[in-house]
Amino acid sequence: MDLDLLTASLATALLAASPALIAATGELIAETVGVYNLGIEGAMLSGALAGFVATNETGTLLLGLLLALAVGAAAASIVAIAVIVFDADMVVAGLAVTFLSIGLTGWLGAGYVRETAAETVPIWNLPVLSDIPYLGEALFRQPVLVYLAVLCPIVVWLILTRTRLGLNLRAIGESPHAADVSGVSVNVTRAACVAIGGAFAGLGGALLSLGSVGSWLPNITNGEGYIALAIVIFASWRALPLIAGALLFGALGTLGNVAQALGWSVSADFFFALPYLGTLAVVAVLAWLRTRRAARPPWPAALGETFQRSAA
Amino acid sequence: MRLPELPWRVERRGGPLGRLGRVGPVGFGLVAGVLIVVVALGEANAAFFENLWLGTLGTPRGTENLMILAFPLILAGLAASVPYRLGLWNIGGEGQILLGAWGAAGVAFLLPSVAPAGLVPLMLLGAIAVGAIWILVPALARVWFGLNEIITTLLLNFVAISWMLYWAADKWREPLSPGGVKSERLPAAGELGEFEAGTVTVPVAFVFALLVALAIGLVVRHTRFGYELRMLGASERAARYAGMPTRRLIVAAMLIGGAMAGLAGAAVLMGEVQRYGPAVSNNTGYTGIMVAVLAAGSEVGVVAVALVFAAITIAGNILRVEGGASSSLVFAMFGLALVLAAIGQGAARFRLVRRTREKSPPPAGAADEAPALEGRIRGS
Repeated sequence: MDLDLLTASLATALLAASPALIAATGELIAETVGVYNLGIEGAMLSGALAGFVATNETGTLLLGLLLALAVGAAAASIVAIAVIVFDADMVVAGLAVTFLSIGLTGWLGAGYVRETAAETVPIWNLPVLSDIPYLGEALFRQPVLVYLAVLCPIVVWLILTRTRLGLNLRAIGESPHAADVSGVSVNVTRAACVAIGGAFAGLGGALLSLGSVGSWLPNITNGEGYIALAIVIFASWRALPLIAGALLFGALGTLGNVAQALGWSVSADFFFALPYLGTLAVVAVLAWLRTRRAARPPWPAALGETFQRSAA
Repeated sequence: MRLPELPWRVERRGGPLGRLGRVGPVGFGLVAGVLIVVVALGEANAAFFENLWLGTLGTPRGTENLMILAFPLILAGLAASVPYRLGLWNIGGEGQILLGAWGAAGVAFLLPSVAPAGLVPLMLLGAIAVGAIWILVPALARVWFGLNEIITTLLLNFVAISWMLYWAADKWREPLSPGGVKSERLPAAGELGEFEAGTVTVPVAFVFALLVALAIGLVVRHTRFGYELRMLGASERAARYAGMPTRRLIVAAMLIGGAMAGLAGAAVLMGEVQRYGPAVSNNTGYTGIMVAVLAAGSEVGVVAVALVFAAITIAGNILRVEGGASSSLVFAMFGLALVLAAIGQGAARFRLVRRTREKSPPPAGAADEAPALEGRIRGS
């Protein structure tokens, strides 16, 4: 393989990984405090459409990105309210929001299909670094949001492991009752984290419609929200490995281009399936290894459990 | 600032919900979900409801449509509801449908000259086998490695779409076919036809789906296997203490789910579609999950909710929104109904209770006043 192809593939892989990476970071925030948010796909999809429509109607990218954040947060808030206030089933609430989003965006976005984005996320060549031959061209000549995507898990990692806030968040996910006794308001914090996670997902979606794809297509996320869920499992609910998981997904998605460039006679359909199949295989192998080591489960102990302050 | 106290407070109910508590929120979700959309579109007029009646039970053609739209949802609903009985999620119905139809089509293309009496059962068996195989890895990963089945079944849907496209657009592609990706037509012997019942034309696939639902219901209620399923669903610990093969039951329930989805794909293929391609599923697998959740895992409920969903689909087509996005609109109505029903079901676990001073513990700051108030209430 020649170096130019490698450079181009690396650049594409990083770009392809970024939306899922931002969404996965959002999902990690929600799961750290114990809420399993299957609505992440819906939040991503809604953010993608909202960002696209706002950008094209106003001509201002910044407004589009802000709306994507807000709409993603709103979609996730439906899950938060259903689960925390009304004690609805977490899986059902998440799926319902995703289905509602698929339907609503398909319907409301029908008029925008195949319109190109009025403005896309600008590409920012990092000074000095982008001049490194090959590697610099691949990694440091990317849309601004790609750098942000890589920063997200790093910042979240710092918050979760180095601050009192992070300690509280992890306490809520591990033992909500203990956190409650120590004066943390469990349900308010949970709702806030789910909403913030949704905002991340919305931004990730916008990076598709206003970035790597650059137009609105029905169901544009094509399951990347679910990939984000898988990346969180891959990373064993830790922030920094999210980057590796997302890059793996991005790299698998790029192999099709590589194969085409090299003239391999493998069906393109195989390469469309590869990111999903590969993510699945890696997650399954990691789960198998974990079983063999009989390690303690890596997820927050109270993941999936609602919290009610009991009278006793 | 202290908020004034309301005369009512919310209290969590103990024990399981009654029949009304279970069915009520579902009815509320379905009705409210549709009405919100209809009102939002400004279509809540007499003509809409008249058309809805004529488009469903009001005419023989409408009734036939209802059955055509309902039968895939019955089977896809069962695909999710059998695992749901154990608290497991089969979110892979969409992929299993595509693979089940692939299995049925494969049998038909391999054995084109077999008579209908032989080919139809063989195709259905092919669909059952392939649908079940498609969920085998998630099922085993669940019991062996404790890997969450939601994400594994979900991811396989996207693999299944590629698989379907490979066969429909490449291997079995009809040469020079206009209008989208699809395979060549199935042999005529592999068709599930229809029959006349009075004035109504009944698709065989609908009757088939009803029979399958009946069979599942009977197995769950009247066999040892069904008893073990229900036991495991009610309490894993109890089932384990009773020495039941919990892992085998989990795998079995998931394989049955995959087989049901496979049958859904085959039934659609062998009904009106006749050509293998994307038309085999219109988000049917995902819709089936909603059907199963709203039906709370009951087979009668699956049939009932599938029929209501079919009616909602017809309502969506009457609304005929611009841009040809009515199937998205219908999907949004399903999703909205599910959100509302989930909220309603959660809320049904609470009840409003009139505050009585004797029972409710006094708020921390008001401890000193409480006895005096109590005395006044008793005295009056």
